[in-house]
Amino acid sequence: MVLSGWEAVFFWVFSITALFMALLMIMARNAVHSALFLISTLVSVAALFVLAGAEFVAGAQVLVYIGGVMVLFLFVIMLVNVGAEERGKERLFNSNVQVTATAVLGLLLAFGLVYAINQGVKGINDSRRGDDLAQQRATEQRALPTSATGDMKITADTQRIGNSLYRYASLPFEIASLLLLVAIVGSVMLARTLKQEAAADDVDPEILKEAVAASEERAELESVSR
Amino acid sequence: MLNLLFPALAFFWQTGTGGRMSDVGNSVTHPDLSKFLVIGALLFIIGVAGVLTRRNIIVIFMSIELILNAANINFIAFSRYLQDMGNVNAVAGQVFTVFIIVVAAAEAAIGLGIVIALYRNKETIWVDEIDLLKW
Amino acid sequence: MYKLIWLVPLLPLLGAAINGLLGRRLRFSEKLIGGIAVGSVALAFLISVLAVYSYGFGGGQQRWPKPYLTSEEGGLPYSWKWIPGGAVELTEGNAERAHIEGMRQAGENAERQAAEQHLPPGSPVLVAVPSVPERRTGALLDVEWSYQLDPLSAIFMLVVTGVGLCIFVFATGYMHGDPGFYRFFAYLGLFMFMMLVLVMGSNFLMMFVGWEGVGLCSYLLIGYYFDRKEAGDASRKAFITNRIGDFGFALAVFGIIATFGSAQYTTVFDQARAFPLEPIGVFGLMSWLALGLFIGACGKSAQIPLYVWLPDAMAGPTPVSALIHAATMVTAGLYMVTRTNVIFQHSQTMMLVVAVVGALTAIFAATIGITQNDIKKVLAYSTVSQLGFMFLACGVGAFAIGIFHVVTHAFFKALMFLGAGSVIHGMHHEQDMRRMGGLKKYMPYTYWTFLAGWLAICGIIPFSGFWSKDEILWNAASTTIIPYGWVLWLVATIAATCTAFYMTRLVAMTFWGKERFREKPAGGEADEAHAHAFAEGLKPHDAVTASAGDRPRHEPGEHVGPINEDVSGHVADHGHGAHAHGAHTPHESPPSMWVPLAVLAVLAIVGGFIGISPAFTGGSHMGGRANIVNWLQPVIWNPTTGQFGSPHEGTEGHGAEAQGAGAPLAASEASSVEHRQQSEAGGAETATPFGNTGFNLAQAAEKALGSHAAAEWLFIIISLIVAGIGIGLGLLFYVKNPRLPDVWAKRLAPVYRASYNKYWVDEFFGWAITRRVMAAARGVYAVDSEGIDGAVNGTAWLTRTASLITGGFDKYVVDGIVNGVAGFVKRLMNPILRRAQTGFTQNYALVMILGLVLAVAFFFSRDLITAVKSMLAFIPL
Repeated sequence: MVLSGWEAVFFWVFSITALFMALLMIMARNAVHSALFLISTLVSVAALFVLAGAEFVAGAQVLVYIGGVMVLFLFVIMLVNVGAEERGKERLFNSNVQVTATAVLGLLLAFGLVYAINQGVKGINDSRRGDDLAQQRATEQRALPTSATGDMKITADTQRIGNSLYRYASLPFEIASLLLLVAIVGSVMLARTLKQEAAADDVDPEILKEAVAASEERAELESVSR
Repeated sequence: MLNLLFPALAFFWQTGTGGRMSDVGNSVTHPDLSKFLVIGALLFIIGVAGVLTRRNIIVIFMSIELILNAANINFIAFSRYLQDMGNVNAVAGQVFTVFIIVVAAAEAAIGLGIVIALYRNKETIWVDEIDLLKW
Repeated sequence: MYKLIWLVPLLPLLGAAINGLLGRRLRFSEKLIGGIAVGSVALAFLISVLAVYSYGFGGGQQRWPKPYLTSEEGGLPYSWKWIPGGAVELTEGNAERAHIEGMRQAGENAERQAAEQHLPPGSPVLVAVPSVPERRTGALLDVEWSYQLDPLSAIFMLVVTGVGLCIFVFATGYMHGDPGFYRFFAYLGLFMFMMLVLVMGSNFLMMFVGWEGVGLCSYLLIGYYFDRKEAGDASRKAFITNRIGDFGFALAVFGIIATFGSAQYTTVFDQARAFPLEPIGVFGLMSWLALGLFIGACGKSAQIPLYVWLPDAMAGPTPVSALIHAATMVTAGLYMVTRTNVIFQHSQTMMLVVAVVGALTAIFAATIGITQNDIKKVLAYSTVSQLGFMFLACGVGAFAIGIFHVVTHAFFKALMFLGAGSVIHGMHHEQDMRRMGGLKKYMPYTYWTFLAGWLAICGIIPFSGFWSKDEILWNAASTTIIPYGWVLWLVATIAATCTAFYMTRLVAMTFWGKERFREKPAGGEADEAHAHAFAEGLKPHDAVTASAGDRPRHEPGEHVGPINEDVSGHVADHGHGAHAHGAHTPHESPPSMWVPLAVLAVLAIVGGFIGISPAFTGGSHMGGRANIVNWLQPVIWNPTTGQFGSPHEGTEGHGAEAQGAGAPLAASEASSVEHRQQSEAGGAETATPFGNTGFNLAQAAEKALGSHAAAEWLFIIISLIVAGIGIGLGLLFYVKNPRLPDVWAKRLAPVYRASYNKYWVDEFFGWAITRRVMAAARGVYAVDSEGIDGAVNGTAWLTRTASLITGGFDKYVVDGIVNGVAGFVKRLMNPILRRAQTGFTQNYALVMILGLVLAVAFFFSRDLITAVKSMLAFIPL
């Protein structure tokens, strides 16, 4: 799988962008900024998916991941918005020991993984044929049907995924849908307030009393701090 | 110093045959599987750094999503590679990626639900204040 | 008819078993218990009479003079194999010795033959080896349980069952109202059984069984009133003293079995005939056997020194005293001596010992009896004295006369004991003669029957006692078997005088004279002493008075007896003041009590005619087999002829046997032949098997008077005179001049005191023997309880302490080590490991990444090292 020409250029653009945005994400002060940086990263990764020929997955990524998960993240960030970060009162990073150790380990890991990957791919390539693969790919590409507008080819990627998903991977598919159901129900249940819970379910009276007292205290504190 | 740089680069930028600079250039203009995987690895490491380093629990979650995405890149790269190697129907990687996206979404939902519950109880989003497991 | 004699011991046993086992459980009435007991004994008596009649006089069926053994019938129920042959092997070892000797000789023969035949040594040679020797049947103890009916056992059967029947009937009346009625008759029936086994047994082991059995029953019956200390003490004393005698008896029985190889009388006495005679100076086998037997007789028949139990045995009920201690048990010694007269007559020393002990006992007990105040004690000492007479008779060789005196003594002594029982019963259990007197008015039956007994024991013609006692005295004077016969005669005569004296005293104090019971309220003084002591807090049994004895049970604090029916002020002043009103008048006993007295009185009067002296009948015992002396001849061994039976009748009947086995051995053959010749020349009575025995009073009298019959009449008249003297003195002292006893008691104060205190024999025994034995027993007990138990407890303590130590070691040391190590590790690791639990999830995640790095590094370690090296190669150095 060798990219060449404009594909290579876009590959390098999108990959550098992804890396850079990721770095910015973990170093951003504002959580919303972090989220936006992550969205950028995810978009770049989706582009990389397209370059790799997985158009369906790229679409799924943009729709689900960015459209759903990141929006959820943004909602939650809003919910737990703490302005202290912005004002610079709170630290961003953990203790210095932790950060140093992370940096050291990260570098080591980077070196090691990069070297390992290169070694591995070299090993794979050594045992395989050479450039006529590119020719084959080009042949295949020309064989694809043309779209209605006439300026692009319709790939068979989605068709293939569909084939696989509904035939061989149908059980995992159903399980995944069940998993989503669980996630929905779970998150609803987890995020309920005490009042909502007390209205819908049996809550131990003592816990109810404690929680009510605590929430009143919090309300007082908030009003005082304001 | 440059004496050191070249070998270092050569060490990391290893190509299929020998260690000559032309090969290095070739590998740049014609990125192949290894480049994809390296990108994936580097994103993974960045994500790990974010998980280990940040204090904000939401940011940690987002770093976890980044890690998952790095894994996705790996899968897609290999799926494409296998397709190029002859097996046109090697979409297993992509199918798996779909599942990973599903799982990531579910996990994000639940995790953020937990964060909200935790926030309601502890009034904080700084992880070093949530050390209830401390002995 | 005599085939039924096996029933005779069995019937009383059955009666006893039924009464004893079922009497209380099924609540038999007194009538039923008494009926069973009396009925069984009556039936036994009937069978005995019929058996003896058919044995001795029964037409063609008679067996006299040979003994009849029930084992002739074979098998149960007549007889059974008790100890089968081979169960006990005698260890004389002769058979084995012979066998070993034979083997040795066979070996020598073999060697000799081999040498003769010039064979190499060790080669097998054919030689005759003695076979395992056949056991002679005489070397294995083979004992059967069978009854023997011969002249001696016939007499005893009749006496035991007959007199026993009278006493049983008396006891049903005497023991009326006693809560242990069934127990009394059970014991009494058991005693009957044991006594009959003793006299009817056919071997020494059966006699021994009976011997021990009557000792046991004596213990049970003396201690019948077991709630009283004196009864328990007396019964133990009787049993233990008996035991001492039994020891000698048992040794003698063992010796007999070892010597003769059998326990059967027939076998033993057959073999014993052939043993040599042992005159004084030779104390051989026969003397030792006789010594052991005589020790047993001393214990059972209350001779010196083992007589001390008999007076104390009066603590039992009066029927017991009558039956056991007058008529039957104490005569077992006589039976045994007469049964083994073969052995005794072989040893002149032992005959002398028997006669001397008998005479000494006679006079010793008589002198004690003079001063006793308890009516039963007087009779007890009288019994001891009369037993001495019987042994004297046996010792001088007149065994048949001794048995004759047993029979007559059984009659009149049982009569007098029962009479005393009737008096005690009528006097509401008062036994002290000093409080009796003039009872002849109130108890006529008792009085007249007692009179018969009194005259009999004093030896007044024609009562039974005269015949037997006179014969004893004559035989003592005329004996040719032992020396010093005249001394024995003199002692016996003085004893007879004393007998007459104290018996007259007893009759006078009890039945004649002033009614002393009017002055001192009769009855229950000892009971009163008990109650008084109880009220004062002492143990009632500590309040033993001199007349403690035979009375029924009562609670310790209960005031019983007519003494309490007087005015209350009596308690303060014991016995002072005469309460004329309220003193109980004695009453006659019921018929169940005086009818036996009448029967025995008749026997006491006419019973002597079975042994009329030859002096009256011209030289021989008249009546043939009906005369007791003739009847017993087959059982008595004649040392002169070496055969059983007298020379006159025996040799005619046993002509064949006389020449057969059993001739005396060579040592005395010459002398016996000589003596036989002498006897044939001078008549049987001048036979001297042991040679010259010194001065013979009878022969001297004969020489002086000229004829044998005259000498006999002389002795008869002398004995009548001394009896008369005794009676006369008694009347003088106690009827004519009642102050005389006190006067003479003061004049002879030391003698009187010695006699009154029974010569302090009991105290001497206590000091010499009893206390030391008790101390030894206490010492042994201390060794056991402290030494042995201490050792056992000590080991237990040791075990417990050892377990404490090991447990403590385990708990403290071992566990301490384990806990210490754990604590050490904890203290070491605690700060280190605690730091790892930060509770900070990212720390944990960091560690995970570290692990990942290490995994990657390990996976590519070789390549990495190569690459680093190649990279370093680029570094220009």
